[in-house]
Amino acid sequence: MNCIDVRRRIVADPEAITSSLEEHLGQCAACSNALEQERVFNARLHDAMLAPIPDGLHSRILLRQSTNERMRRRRFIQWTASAASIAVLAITLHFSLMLTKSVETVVLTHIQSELNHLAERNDINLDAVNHVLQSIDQRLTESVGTVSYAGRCKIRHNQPGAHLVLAGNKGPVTVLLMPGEKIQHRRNIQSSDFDGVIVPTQDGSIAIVGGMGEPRDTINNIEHLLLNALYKQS
Amino acid sequence: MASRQDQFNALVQAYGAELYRIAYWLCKESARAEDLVQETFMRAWKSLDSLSDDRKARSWLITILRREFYRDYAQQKKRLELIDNDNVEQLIDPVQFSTSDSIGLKRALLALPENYREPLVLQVLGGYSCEEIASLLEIKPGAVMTRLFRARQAIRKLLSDDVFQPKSMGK
Repeated sequence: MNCIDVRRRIVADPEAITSSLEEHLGQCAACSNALEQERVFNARLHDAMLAPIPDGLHSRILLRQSTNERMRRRRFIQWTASAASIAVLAITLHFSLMLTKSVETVVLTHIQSELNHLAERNDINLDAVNHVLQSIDQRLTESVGTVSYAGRCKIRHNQPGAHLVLAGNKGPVTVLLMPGEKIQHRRNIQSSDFDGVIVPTQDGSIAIVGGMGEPRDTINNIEHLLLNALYKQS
Repeated sequence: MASRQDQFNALVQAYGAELYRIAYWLCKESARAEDLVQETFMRAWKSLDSLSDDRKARSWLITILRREFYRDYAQQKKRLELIDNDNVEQLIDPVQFSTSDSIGLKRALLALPENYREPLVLQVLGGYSCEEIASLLEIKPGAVMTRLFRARQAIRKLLSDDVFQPKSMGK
């Protein structure tokens, strides 16, 4: 390493002295002197670079960070609240749609969900039927036909009802007594599988639904018998 | 066990001043330097979880600081890179020294082109070696040596010139 190389190195970095540099410096007084001058110059540079730190710099950094963090949390809370509001709205809408679901849909959905009752082969006597009807404050004063199933049920929003299956001409006929489901007029109910009527009563309605091939006379006859035999207990 | 906030506070206390000084020599303006440091720490706070080794905190912060600085001055940096090989003395605008000023060394530093001043500040103020500066600046160590050499020579030249001597304020 010659003096030119050494000078270039000590000018570029006067604090980084390698073994080869040290070896040269030990033998060259001029370069050693130059190194001392560079180090003095470097110390002056260092002092010149010590720009005064603004008062309160650290506090302002921490203040900005804490403010940003608080705002971020507030935005998160606002976002969460908005999301919760939307969720509540969606749930409300869902239940509103359920509330506005037509009584026909309610009846058909109910029958579809309890298709197993259509396969019952029992012959339930009048007392047993009335025991079921007692839960909705109703009773039958006389038989309305062969009852193969009689049970309590929930119609909509946990409103109590009674589910009967009677023997029709072609097959089972479902009778749903629905005290809470008020309708203004008698109406037909029909789907690809079922056919029947919903008739208004004093405090609700009754659905009488048979299979698609069930003669309308059978449905009308059961309707007639039910309306004559039903008696409100209270 | 220190919380995330405690760790952040410690970083601000330990490196806030040093970052400010480096920022000052990067952007040459105290208000902008403070903004730069604040923005650096805000970004550091967001990605504090990525700092796994406290010994790397200083370099990590300086890297964020530089990134923030060059994000806004990418075009300026590009221009400076293009003139990297030119004679440094020609790059200095003598107009900057036309007013009365007794702090010649600081003014010479401010007059240095950014790509000469930055490695010098990192070396003298930050205590980084050529290899470390090369890593931070993503250039070769030989290029760092060259820039440091030229930077010091340029300052010497400027100090020896009349432009650093206080001029009369006129009649």
